[in-house]
Amino acid sequence: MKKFPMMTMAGAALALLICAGTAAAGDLPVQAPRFWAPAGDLVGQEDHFAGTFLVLDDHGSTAKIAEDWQLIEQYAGEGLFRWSGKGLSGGDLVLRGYGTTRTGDFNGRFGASCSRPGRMVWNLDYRLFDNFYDTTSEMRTYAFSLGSEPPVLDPAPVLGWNRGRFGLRYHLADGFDARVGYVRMARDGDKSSLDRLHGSTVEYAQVPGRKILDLTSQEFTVGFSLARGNLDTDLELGYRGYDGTRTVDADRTVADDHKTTSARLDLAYDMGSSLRLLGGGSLAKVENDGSETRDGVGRPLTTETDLSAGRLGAIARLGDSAVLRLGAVVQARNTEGDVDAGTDEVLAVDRERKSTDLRARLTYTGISRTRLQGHVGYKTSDLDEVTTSGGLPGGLVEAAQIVAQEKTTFNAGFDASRRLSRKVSLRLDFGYSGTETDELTTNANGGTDLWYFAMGDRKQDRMDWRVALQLRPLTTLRLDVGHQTDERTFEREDEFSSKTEWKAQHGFAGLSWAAHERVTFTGNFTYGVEEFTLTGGPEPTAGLGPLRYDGTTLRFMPGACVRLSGKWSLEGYYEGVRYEDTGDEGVIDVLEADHDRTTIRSSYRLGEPLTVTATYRRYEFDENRWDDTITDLYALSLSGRF
Amino acid sequence: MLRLLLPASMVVALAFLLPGTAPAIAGTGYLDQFEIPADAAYAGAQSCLDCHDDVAASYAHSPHAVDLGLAVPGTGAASCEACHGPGSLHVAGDGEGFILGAEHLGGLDDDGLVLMCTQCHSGQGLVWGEGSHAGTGTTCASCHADQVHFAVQALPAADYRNPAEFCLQCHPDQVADFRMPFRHRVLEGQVSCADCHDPHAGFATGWNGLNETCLACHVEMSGPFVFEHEGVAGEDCTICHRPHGSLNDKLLVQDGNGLCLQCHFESGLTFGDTGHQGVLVNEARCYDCHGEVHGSHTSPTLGYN
Repeated sequence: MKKFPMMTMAGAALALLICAGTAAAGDLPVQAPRFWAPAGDLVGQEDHFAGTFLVLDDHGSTAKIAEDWQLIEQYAGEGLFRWSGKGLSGGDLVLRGYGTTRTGDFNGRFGASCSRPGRMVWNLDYRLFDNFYDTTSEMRTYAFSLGSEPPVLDPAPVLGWNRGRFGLRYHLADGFDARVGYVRMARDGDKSSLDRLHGSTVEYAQVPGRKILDLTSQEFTVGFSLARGNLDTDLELGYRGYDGTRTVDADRTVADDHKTTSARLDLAYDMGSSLRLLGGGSLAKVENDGSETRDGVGRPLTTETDLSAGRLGAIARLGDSAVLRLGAVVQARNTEGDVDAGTDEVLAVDRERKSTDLRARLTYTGISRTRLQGHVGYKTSDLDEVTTSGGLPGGLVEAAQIVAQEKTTFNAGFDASRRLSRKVSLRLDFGYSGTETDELTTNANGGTDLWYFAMGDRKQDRMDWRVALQLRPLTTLRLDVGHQTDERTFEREDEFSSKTEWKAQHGFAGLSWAAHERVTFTGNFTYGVEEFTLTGGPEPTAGLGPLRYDGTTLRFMPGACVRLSGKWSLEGYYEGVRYEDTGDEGVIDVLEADHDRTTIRSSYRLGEPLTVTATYRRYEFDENRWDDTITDLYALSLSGRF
Repeated sequence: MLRLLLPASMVVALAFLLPGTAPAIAGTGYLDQFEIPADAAYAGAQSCLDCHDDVAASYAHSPHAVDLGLAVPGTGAASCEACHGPGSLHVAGDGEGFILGAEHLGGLDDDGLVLMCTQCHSGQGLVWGEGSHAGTGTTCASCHADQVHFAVQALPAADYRNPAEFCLQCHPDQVADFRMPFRHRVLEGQVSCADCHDPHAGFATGWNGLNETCLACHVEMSGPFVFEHEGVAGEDCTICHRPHGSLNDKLLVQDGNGLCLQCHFESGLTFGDTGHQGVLVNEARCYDCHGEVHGSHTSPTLGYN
């Protein structure tokens, strides 16, 4: 029933587009296939403005529509502008802004920048957005076979998010620059969350709840860069304060009060014209004096991490066709923390991590029409951790667990591109990463039972490769096709000897064809298969729930763009996504989900500076559960350049 | 420290093996890549603009035009001649003498072209060589070409609402991810590519151990926790999350409990002393109970209870 109007409109649009190909030629440029773009924003790089009036007609789960598209208002306005001129100091000043009322409140961003090249530049950016959350977003994943719609939250959870950023860079003297920066970010509101309190019943996690956030962070930085002869240096000092609370289900609250201080020094030195040496060092301290409250009992806590890192690197040219890049990074990360609630349990941790990371990358262009690049890396890391429970501080240790871990990672890969002919280029990518972890966890008090969960030795492999062809059979035809594979395996090498595998195959093709000076066709097709399997150890009990899955995703997106005349253009796009999960057919029903999205947009140039644009969009989500939605969006825009 | 000294000594050793005529890769040696006549001298930018009035009209509004006296540090090369070389012979020859034109610049490779910019923009040169764009056939001009001579900004390509479109010109494959049901709202303009990616760096980002890419915004996940998840502290966020977009809630890489059991699967699903068969039969997910999955101060099992 829902499919019919969509197909009818898509067919009508296609017929209109074909007919329009015979219309009179003009000089209005063909629009790029920016099918995601909001209405009326194709205003170019010059100073401009655009105003849009939106009408929403939605059916189905309004909470899901709000989450997917940040749309709740039936009528909304949007606008954007760019203006450039001279600032008070004579510098080039650019002001930009975008605002919308589609969420029922004012959302948008504002930016200003001013520069006098060679002297100074400053930038200001402020963003203010609301994010809505579907009541059942955690339950909409394909792991759930729930057949009935859960209750909704009213009002829909919404989290306000805003960020302001300012940066100033000033050229103080020849080769000497200074800069300051400030970033403030705040999140305030609530997100949907399953109510964990109901975990002991069959109604497991089916009741929606709220996670309430009130978080603010502010960061100040000051930096200096100095270039003298063959030496480049850069020093940055930073301070970040962060405080906030996170509350789940009204009885679990985590309060943070973070202070982070950091310093970083980068050096680069040129030894001749073919070798650049790089070095640097960094120190940081992260302190947190917060609390964690559960079931009405507050537990004040103190944690502190000291970070130090150093690096060396080099970029060297080997002859005319090869560049070698080498890098080495060492890090140390020491954490101490304790929780002292004056209650029955005191927790403390002393954790040390150290790592060394070596990397090399070689780029070679000595073969005609070919670029080759290979890289290898080797990383080792050690973890020594002691966690104690009870009796601290000042008392006896009642329980302590010690973790000693050694981890080594090797990675390698290459990518190659070759121009096979004037019309065909080939690209290959391959990457491999293997990690082996040796981990021994012991009870420090000599007991055999570990205090909490521990993992033993394990091995993890990741591999991905991609092959792609760029075909340009005609100057007006671009076709890109390719295939990509990702594989991950994880093996427990302890007494469980289990092995899990996750494999994803992804094929893609993209087409852009300027069939006529006034007609451009675009197409996009992707095909993806994901499998997750378990081997080793006994099979999970029947009815255990969807541990494994076998998902197939199909996405196709045809579109066309037509210049009907010198003033009138028309474009239409359809995007279909089909998803099916058959991995646990014996446990849950096959899950099917369809996304259908249609955009039809037409622009008419009223005069040299003004263009009016009308847009119709339909978003349709159809799943064999409860979240079906249809969203019709009508927009009328007026945009201009000045 | 010995681990650092080894590669360093290898690099220094390489310096003595390199051919002396190889194109420059670093420093202020941009002009050293060319054979410049000994009698060529700097004539000043005004000499250029007197004849190239077509360029002058636009150049007057370009970011480079504010101070024609700005020179490459330590040299006499200023404005036009910083990139095009000393122009006295070109001026004297009424446009016929030596100048670094398209035929010269076109003969440079990527690193040689980058050097043209980093002789002044040394702050970018400091990190560019390590960056994810370096060595990929990308140069400064790939993104900033318009700024050299003209008044327009390199960013954004279209408008302020969606600066990501500039990057998507070369990375169109990312569009599909940003159309996923769960995604960072990049196409909607809330988040920019540059919020997470430094186009000039990349490789070096996060080397100081602060995991700043994700935790700069999601600071509440940064701990330090008494009980931390190995996946957070010892690995990287992308083991569990697909940052651009995902079919799964919370941008998770995999669906359902398979994500957790990829590492934590044990025979009989008995973790520690607790059997989980009965719990999972009821379609619970691991983080229904282990909700503080990134770390907890009070729960060794990262749980709520």
